[in-house]
Amino acid sequence: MFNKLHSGLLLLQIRFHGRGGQGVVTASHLLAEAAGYQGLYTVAFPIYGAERRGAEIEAYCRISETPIRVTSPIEKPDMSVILDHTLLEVSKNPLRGLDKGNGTVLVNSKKPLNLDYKTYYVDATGIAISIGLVKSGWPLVNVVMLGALIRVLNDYVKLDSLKKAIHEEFSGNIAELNIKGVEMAYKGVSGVLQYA
Amino acid sequence: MMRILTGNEAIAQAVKLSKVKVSAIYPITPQTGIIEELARLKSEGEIDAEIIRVESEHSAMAATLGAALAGVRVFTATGSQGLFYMHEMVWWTAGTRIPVVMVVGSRALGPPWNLWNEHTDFMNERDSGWLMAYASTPQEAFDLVVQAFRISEDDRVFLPMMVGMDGFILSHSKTNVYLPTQEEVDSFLPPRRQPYIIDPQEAVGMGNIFPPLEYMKLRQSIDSSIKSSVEVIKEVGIEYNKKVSPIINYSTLNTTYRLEDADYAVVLMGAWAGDAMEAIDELRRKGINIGLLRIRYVRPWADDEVISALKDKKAVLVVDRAASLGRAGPLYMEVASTTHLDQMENVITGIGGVSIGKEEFIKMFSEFVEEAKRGKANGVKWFYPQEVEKVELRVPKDLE
Amino acid sequence: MLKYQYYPITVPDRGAGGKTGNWRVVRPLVNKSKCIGCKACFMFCPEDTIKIDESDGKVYVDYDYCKGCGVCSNVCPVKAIEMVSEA
Repeated sequence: MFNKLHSGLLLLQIRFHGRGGQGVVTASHLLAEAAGYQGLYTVAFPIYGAERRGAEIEAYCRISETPIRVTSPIEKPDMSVILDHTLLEVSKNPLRGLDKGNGTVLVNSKKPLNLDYKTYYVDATGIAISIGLVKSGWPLVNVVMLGALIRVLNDYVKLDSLKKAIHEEFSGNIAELNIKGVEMAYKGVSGVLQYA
Repeated sequence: MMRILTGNEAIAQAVKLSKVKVSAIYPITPQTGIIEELARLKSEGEIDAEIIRVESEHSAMAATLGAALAGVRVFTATGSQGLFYMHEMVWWTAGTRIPVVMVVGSRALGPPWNLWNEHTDFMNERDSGWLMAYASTPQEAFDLVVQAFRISEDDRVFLPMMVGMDGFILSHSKTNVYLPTQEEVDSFLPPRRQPYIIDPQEAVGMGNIFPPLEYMKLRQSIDSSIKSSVEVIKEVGIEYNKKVSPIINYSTLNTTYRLEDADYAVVLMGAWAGDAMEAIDELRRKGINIGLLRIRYVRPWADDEVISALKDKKAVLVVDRAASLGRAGPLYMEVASTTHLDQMENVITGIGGVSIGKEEFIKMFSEFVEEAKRGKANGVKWFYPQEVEKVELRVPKDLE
Repeated sequence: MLKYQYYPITVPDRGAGGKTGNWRVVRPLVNKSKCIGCKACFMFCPEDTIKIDESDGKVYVDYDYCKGCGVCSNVCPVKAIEMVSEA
């Protein structure tokens, strides 16, 4: 899938999964802003409705080299980014609509997971805790995951664009910590290729 | 400059660039982001507008109108229950004929509570005397707000104007929005003009009792102003394209997509036009000759554009995201009172945020074309993308 | 198309509704010897028809426009204004 990225014909559809309060929506926004800095067309939006801390949340991001017209939630994503691997036990939503052959999963996990998709994992929680990126007891993994995501996307969206977007969204220490986390995740992502 | 903004953020930027002086907004999902962004711009010194904190939407419009009567450019926003609570002042504002611009982040009405998008709240104000445009992208919402100040303040119009946008689908989607420079907007938007001001030095009374004949003349005057605003809107649109941004064509009130050579036409408004265009491309590839008329202005209603767009079609499908319960969709009633074809069908769907995307449109449009071929594309239908489970009834205890 | 645009405004103008004095059924009569010039009636008159005599600071009534409502008589603290029938 990802070698087709530069063809200009592809509409890249990424779905983010996490829990309310984890920054799922912010993650999708930052990816869109980063893509925007590269002159790409992009739309990022949350699952519509009331926000509930701890509950299952989805956010979507479409990226393309041509204007994007579709507005509906992403039901058949190219890639699913899961900020909390325990959600895989909570519901079937994180893997919903993924293609068995080409569907890609990026999950925040300490160890490899056995899924029927191209699966990548990164210990974003460990990274966040190790650098003190923690607020109210919650490790802030949303931005860290984007570092790994960029690696999986073969730098289609550039690290520098993401850093620019992070500086636009956060300031001071929190921006610096997030950037540090992004760099660590970018280096730390591991792939487990599994085919059905 | 190209920025990645939500619809709400884009509108706040339009308010900033239009140099609004007073804004009174009461928060309501999905438009709360607008007032949050305006408050942020104010706290960072980027705008010098007075942001008035009010206790309700009724007061929001009252404060906005009061400031407008005193002679400054004003802006407010609301949606759903908020718009209905504001309803009395919405009409009062139209009657004053004072330029005011409002954004409606549209959303379903309770009960039961529902946060999601539909157009019923917006469409309910179409008898009020406001000019009414409905956006289909955050970019268009931005453009229409800037143009709304110019149109509303034109001496051939002198009426308030509301710009609708789909709640969440536009208000909460972060996407590419082109922001013009302050100089570009200044070259397009002249200083505030209005028909009269309330000034203690030179007293006039506004809204004092009018006898029947004078009252009727005033109402007709608003009616004729709305009709004559068609030309003003085109003129302003062309100038906007020239001086501010050429991205979206504003030389007509409404827009079409692959309609000219089509046998079948779909009419709708709002964000899902994008999904409908995707569906049309797909059906065209299968040899089905279908096209789209997207309504951008509900008031004024461009009869000529609608008639010439639809006159030679075999059948027309109007897709409403609103319903006049027991009758039909409001957009359908507008289209059906404009042009008379043998086959005109109405689909009501997307109510309360039911998600209708490309796949659902392909199914809906295919069914419509099949019906049209059998000469049966008439009447009003409610379209569901999937089955809905039966809800258990409850009866009072003494009846059990 | 209408020739003119209409707006819901009115400009205050003396006697815009005609000489409303002929609506009067009872007329206020000011007893100048009782009047103390407090101007309570002047403040309360809804039609601006109580006038002040600059020579002595006391009041008189503009009967062209006075509708005879009787507010002045009611508020007078010294009962200097009496309402009498026009018939």
